[in-house]
Amino acid sequence: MSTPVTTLSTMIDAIAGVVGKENVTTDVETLKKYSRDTSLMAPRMPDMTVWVKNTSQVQGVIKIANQNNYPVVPRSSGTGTYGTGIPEEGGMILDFSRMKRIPRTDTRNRWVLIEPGVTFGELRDDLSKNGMQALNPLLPRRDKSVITSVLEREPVLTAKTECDEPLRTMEIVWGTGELFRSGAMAVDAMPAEEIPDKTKSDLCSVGGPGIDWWRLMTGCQGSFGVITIMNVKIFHKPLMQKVVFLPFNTLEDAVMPFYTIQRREIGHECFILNSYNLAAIMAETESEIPELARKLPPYSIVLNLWGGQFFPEDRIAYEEKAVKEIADQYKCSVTQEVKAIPEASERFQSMLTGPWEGDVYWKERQLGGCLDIVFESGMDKIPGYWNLFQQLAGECGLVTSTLGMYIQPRQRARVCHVEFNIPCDPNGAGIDTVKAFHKKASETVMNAGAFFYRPYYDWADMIYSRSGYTFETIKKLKKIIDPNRTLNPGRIGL
Amino acid sequence: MAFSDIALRALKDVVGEEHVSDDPIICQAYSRVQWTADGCIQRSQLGTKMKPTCIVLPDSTEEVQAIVKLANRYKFVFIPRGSGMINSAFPNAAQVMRANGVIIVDPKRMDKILKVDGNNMYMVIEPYVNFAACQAEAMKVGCTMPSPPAGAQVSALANIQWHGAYGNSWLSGLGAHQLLSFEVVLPNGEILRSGSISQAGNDDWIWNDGPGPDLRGFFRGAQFGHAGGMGMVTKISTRLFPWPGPVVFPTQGNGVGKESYFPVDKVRWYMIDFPAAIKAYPEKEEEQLRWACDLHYEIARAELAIVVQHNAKQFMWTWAARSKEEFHKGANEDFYPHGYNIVALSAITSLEQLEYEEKVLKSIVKKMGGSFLSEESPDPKDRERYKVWMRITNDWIRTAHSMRLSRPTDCFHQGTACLDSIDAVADEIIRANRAQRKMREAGKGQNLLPISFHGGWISPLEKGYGALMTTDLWPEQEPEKAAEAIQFLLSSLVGMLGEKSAGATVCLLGPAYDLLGPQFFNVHLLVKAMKREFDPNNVSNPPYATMPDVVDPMQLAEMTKVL
Repeated sequence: MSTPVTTLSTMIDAIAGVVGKENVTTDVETLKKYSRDTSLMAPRMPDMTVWVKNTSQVQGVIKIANQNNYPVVPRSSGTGTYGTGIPEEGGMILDFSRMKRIPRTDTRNRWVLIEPGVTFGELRDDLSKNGMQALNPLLPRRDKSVITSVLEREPVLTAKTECDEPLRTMEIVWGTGELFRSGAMAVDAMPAEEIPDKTKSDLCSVGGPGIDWWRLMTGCQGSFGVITIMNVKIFHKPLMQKVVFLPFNTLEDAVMPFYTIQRREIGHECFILNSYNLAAIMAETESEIPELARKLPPYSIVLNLWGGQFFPEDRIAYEEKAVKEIADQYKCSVTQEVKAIPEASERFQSMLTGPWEGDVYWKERQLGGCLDIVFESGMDKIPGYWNLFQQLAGECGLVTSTLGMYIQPRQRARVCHVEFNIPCDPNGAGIDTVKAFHKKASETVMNAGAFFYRPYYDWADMIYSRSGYTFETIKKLKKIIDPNRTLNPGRIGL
Repeated sequence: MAFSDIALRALKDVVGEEHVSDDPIICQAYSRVQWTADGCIQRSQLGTKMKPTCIVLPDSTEEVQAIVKLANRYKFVFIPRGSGMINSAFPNAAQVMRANGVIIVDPKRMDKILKVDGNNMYMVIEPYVNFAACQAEAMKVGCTMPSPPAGAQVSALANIQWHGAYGNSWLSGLGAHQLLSFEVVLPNGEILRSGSISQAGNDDWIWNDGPGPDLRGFFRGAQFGHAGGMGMVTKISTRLFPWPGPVVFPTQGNGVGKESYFPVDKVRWYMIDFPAAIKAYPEKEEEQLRWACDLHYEIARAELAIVVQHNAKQFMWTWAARSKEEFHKGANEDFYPHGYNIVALSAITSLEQLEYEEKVLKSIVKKMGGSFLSEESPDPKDRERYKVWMRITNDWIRTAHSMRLSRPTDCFHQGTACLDSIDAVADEIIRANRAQRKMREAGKGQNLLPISFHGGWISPLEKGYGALMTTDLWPEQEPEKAAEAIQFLLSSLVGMLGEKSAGATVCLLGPAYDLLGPQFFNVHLLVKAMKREFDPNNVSNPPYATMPDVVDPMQLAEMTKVL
């Protein structure tokens, strides 16, 4: 494609020439769905949606777009909650949801090779055939793309240090349409699944070629390059496990037990939920959530003791004993039971390994929508941020008992991923108040020192206006990698 | 433009007259690469021209920034340095040819541990803090910090930015994994603060993956960092790991006679031998390495241990010998007849956890037909091997290999290095050792230590999700002998390229970008564009990380003629 395209119709024809007419749509109703995500961000209509099925098609489409200064917004599952897939400058949605292959699983080296359309539900089903388990975030949406989650650095439930960065190697298509591969996948351009058999690469070396592309490509919301295949870490399913709960009346009381559990490396999955979020997850019906939340302890550490693959009873026994020691030390309790939630331990065990199975996502069960404040912090500072957030919510007229909180330790609580969740009715009369509060609270918590590591919503300006030369550096890198601003233009301020 | 007294005067104005020196004797002291074969070649090629024009000792980020701005104004080269261990910390041919002056920025005055956060397990350090100091402070708050085999005397910041393979990489991975937030003075004089410290007014060094793209990816590579070619890193925060104690590293004795024993309720070491049928070395080398792989994968599946590695035969004795004389004596007597698998378990959770892990480890080794050396081993030689190893094995945690690594000849060079899976790096050891044996059969490589000393170091990373390997060479410090080691390394690289080994993808730095970039999706063009963008005057330790422009073949040949 070397002839410049001058009209939308010729652009559509050119793209259809690569992917086939049946894989391009300009249907208005379809495009409306692609004009927004679940974030409440203002929608923007794309000109077309294009479904691709392989790398060659991805390259072909992006090359045409790049030659014609035409925006490409990659989307894998459309379940974004932060506005990352909204076509801010129009153009096309490049939909990867039909690239669903899981062509290889390596149980010895503990990775699985996946395409961007593979969802957490599909991956769980596939891995379970081999006795393996994916590194999941907390109850992802069933149709959430695993690759998107990894690229967005969503924290995984297990706090084990070696599980924190699941990405291994990947194939990238730059904004110019050129192909690239990172890490040990760079040894050849043959299909990635053939590399371990036909070369001396096992796709385990993450870095290079040259610099660490595997890290640079994360957190860029599709504005540096698009990923067409990736292998990610997995781990062996345990032969036995046991979920226990440590309830607390204040978040401050949970800090030292939480640190100590992680410092002593007890269990695998571990996190803190406040009563509202625990109720939103565990209530049988939506209407039960407020009442259940009132009955639950204000804060709970959820900890999955891990039997592993060898002598699982022994392992769980020493972990359980150690947790009890910590509970005694800090004068709190540890239990398998949760008041008002029958079989809480058993139910959580199954929830830890897969996506949310309900029809309405757990964060949206009560009111139909949810805005999040997402940042990272040491555990010791989180109670201060939470108090600040709640105080501000009260001042803005929000009901503080319906605010959610989730704390996920990373690398044994070297840092915590924190979410303050604001359930809301997207179509309700008070939505503007909620949006205003969300913005104000974000800025307040940021000013207090919380590290907003993912520039979502309209945070990019807020974050980058105070990040000195960091943003200049990112802009310079964008200019080198995607000189025509073809990929997801406008996102993260680029 | 030659380096002028104007530039010298400006530098003195920045850091104070007493912190700049162009004294020929002092500058000469900064011209001697230590024990690497590359350094030996560098000296032989450049001789006294390796001497920098002057040495500058800043004591703050602001002073480093002022120095870099002067470098851009007067177009002299600056070489950021840590503790001066590797050859990229010394003037090279490309810099000398430019004739605008080469200064070394020595961070000796930037030697502070700025923060130790035991709860959140990180530490903030300046460039001249060494690993030993970090470890001592970490242990006081119940943490540990990995130490590199190159030795705990080196700059922790430089090591983490540059490479960073550790005695307990099983836990930590490589240096790239240790890096959290960082502050760097870019070659254009701008200060970049990445991660949690990027936000104005935020002095919490706790994390780095953002905001937005993770800029650690820009400053680190698989095997190497940018070797000072992308500015000078002035502070970093780095990871610590849980440590069961003791708070003070227990040692007894002095100097080479120093021994260290941890309380057995805290840390236990295991020296694991191969099944009887595959003990013969080198005849059964391949079977031994495959067995080692199986063992490491099983330990990974069991999620055990703080240290797991296959120690090459030569590592065992360079590590354990107390003198050069003892080393050669032990080598000649085949004190360690082959490599061993070394495992350490610790009581991070509790003593019960330690007992559990020991039970699992013993069941794995038993099932695989291996055995443990101990003070009760039936063979008295095994008892002695165990005893000698145990007196220094704790060095993997703190002191590390240090200069003992170069003990055989006072010079050291990697024969091969590779990163990938545990299986894949074992493949590389086997391939490299075959190649070296073949070379010796052809009458070459006689200046390297005997092939019987090889067998490869397998260092699994991140609880077995990946691995690093090296084979090692000890040429004497004479140019033709050192060149032989380098040529072997390069022939290994050619072998890896031919077989499409992952090892070939991790060694791009300097001229290697031009040599290999076209084979790896033209990565050299992207990284050159980055160098050009951030170092428009090419003043930050060229030719690292790469040259700003594609190098002319004639110039490339000149730059790599020793190869």
